[in-house]
Amino acid sequence: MPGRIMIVDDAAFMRMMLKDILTKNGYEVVAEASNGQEALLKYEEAKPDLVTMDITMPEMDGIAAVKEIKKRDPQAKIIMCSAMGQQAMVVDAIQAGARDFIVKPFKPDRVIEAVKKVLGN
Amino acid sequence: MEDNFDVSHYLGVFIEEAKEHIEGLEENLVKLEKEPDNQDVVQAIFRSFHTIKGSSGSMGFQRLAEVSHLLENLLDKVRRGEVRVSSSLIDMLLQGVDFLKRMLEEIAEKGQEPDWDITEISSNLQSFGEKKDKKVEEYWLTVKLISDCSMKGVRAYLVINRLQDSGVEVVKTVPPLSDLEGENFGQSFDLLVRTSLPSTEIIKIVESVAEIEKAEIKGEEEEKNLEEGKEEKEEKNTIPSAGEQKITTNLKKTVRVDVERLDSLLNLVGELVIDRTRLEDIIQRLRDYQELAQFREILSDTTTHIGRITNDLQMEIMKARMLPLAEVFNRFPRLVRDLAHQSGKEINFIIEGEETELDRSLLEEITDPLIHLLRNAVDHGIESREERIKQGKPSQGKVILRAYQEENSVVIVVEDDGRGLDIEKIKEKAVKIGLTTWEEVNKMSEREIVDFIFYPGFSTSDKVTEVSGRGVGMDVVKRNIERINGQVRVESRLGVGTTFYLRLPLTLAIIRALLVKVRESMYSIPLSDVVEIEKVEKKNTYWVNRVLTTLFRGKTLPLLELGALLDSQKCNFTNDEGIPEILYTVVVSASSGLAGLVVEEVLGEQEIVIKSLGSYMGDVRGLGGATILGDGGISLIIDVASLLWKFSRAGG
Repeated sequence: MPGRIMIVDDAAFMRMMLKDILTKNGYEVVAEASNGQEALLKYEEAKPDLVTMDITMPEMDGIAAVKEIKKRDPQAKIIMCSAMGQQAMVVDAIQAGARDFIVKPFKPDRVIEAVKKVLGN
Repeated sequence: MEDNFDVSHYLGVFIEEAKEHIEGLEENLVKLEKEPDNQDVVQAIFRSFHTIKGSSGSMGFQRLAEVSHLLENLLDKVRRGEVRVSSSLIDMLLQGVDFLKRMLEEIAEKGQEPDWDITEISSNLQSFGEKKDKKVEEYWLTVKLISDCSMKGVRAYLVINRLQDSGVEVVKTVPPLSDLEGENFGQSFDLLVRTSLPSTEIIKIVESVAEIEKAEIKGEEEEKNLEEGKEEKEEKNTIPSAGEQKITTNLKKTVRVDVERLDSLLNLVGELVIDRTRLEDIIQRLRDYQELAQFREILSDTTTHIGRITNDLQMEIMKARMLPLAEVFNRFPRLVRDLAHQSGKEINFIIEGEETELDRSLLEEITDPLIHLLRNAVDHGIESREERIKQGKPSQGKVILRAYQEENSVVIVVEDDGRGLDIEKIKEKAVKIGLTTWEEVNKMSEREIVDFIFYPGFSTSDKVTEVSGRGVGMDVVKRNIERINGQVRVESRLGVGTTFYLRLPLTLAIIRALLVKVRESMYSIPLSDVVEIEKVEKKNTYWVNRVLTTLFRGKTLPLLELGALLDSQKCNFTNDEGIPEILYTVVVSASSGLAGLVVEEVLGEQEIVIKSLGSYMGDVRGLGGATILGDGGISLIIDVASLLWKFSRAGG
């Protein structure tokens, strides 16, 4: 049972890579956003089943975006995309309600495992 | 543990801590009723019950442990969504908290647990939410991460977080939490969890986290080995709860200190302040001896240094004695909720500025007055639902309790959007009970009229309560606040609401005061009450209603002979002959207005340490204590508020 996913990352390259990994495994990428602000708007529009959320972004960072999204939709499922050394921020994001996290550089099977588990399939 | 293990000297800490939890519980339960979905609050409540259970068990208080255990269980059901948050649930839990509270009070008094029957409350708690209580069990769980898992620490955190979210209690971790967070572990870690969920469910929860290779419950044999460790943990209950807290919050390092110790420290600093004043006095006297000039200088330097250090020391101890107002405020949501329930009103109670700090001795003093004000606001201030709707107000009344610091005082505001004070009714009542006449009252400002509610005679009459909506024990409120050098002011608009302002000093013990001389005695007037020092010439004085007055800032100022006020025997200001050419006047302010205290000599200002007069002297109106001066002499401290009250009674 695949799902509808929104990718949030300020780097177009990262978005492309994630999109490839996800679509190859049967998931549908329904929206992309390059910062937290945009993510909020697109989340409302697309109502994805799951969001992958980068941490460091302009305008509104990933942690603030998690908080905002969770405020509007407490059921929202969000996976954080973290770079090495961002431990503290990942913990913040989990406290804010993120369900899991993946660490860059991404390995396709890790990404899929996390997505699968969070979506419960 | 062994029978001879003596826990009695932990009793103080135990009770103190349990009380704190109970206060927190009352606050959180009321909050939960407002925000039934707030999981943080549910967790906090759960933890408090859990901690009380653990420590009372360790203290050997079986009944206390049993009841808190049942409360914890009930909360666990809430946490897992088996029991919905409802008014009746909150009532049940509050009832349980009340029981714990009463029991604690009893224990605090007698030193041992009362043999009360707990079967009724126990069965009520147990049967609440009908479902039969599933057995809560503990499991040791080993979690193994995949071999190249990145950010192991965060991963472990996520596992614990996920378990807690699912209502599984994580009691202990191996290695300890700090090592887990610091990634000081290999590929796996162990968790001691407590839950009523089946073990398969726990594994499912853990394995729903990514990059987990395997989660398994430890085998029977191992469990037995660990049993001993578990028992040890049960007895030293503080370990798991401390660990739990670390997961969510970073606790500051603190030490519990007996309040008495702080009090005696402050006393000692007070002595130092006195000694410093004496040293300054010695330096003054040395001025006459030229040959000692050199020593005088050295002494002067040292004294300055001591002075600075005493100041710092004093500040630090003051700070240590300061407690956030939350200590007092936290119990009010419960109070307001109960009062609102009783009177069938809907009230939105808002607390602001509870982090404002106040000396702990003051904190105790303001509790009763605040309860009084809140009770009045709910009972008489806020109108009934129907009445509010009729007047076009929101059906829900609003009561705000706000605190903030303003220079050297703390201001506490109790505000309601109720019916307000009816000036006309107050006027009527004041005249009727002979506090004033129609002629006088019609000349009064609204503020002066409103102040009548603080008169003793005004408050005792029940009828006024109904008519004016206020007045129950307001004189007591005012007296209590003034006793701690505070002031009370009220503002009100008919139909819009009433606001009480309490202005309190930050601390009681050491103040700056003006030293004056009257009839060969030295008196100290707190500088906070002094407006100005005036030299009034006899030709500028007038008689008004047989009281000597002068003009001060365009207004009449009564001139009162301090000496006469204090021993109330010989009054010189009866006719023109008794008045000296120059009147040294200290203009003081109290809530009742300004007054000039005429003294013989003004000696200067000084820091003084307030020593109580002792209870055997009784209530000495006009005096607020005594202090020791630099030369070892004693000076009585003038309590301006009660002194002026005395005058207004005598004069009126």
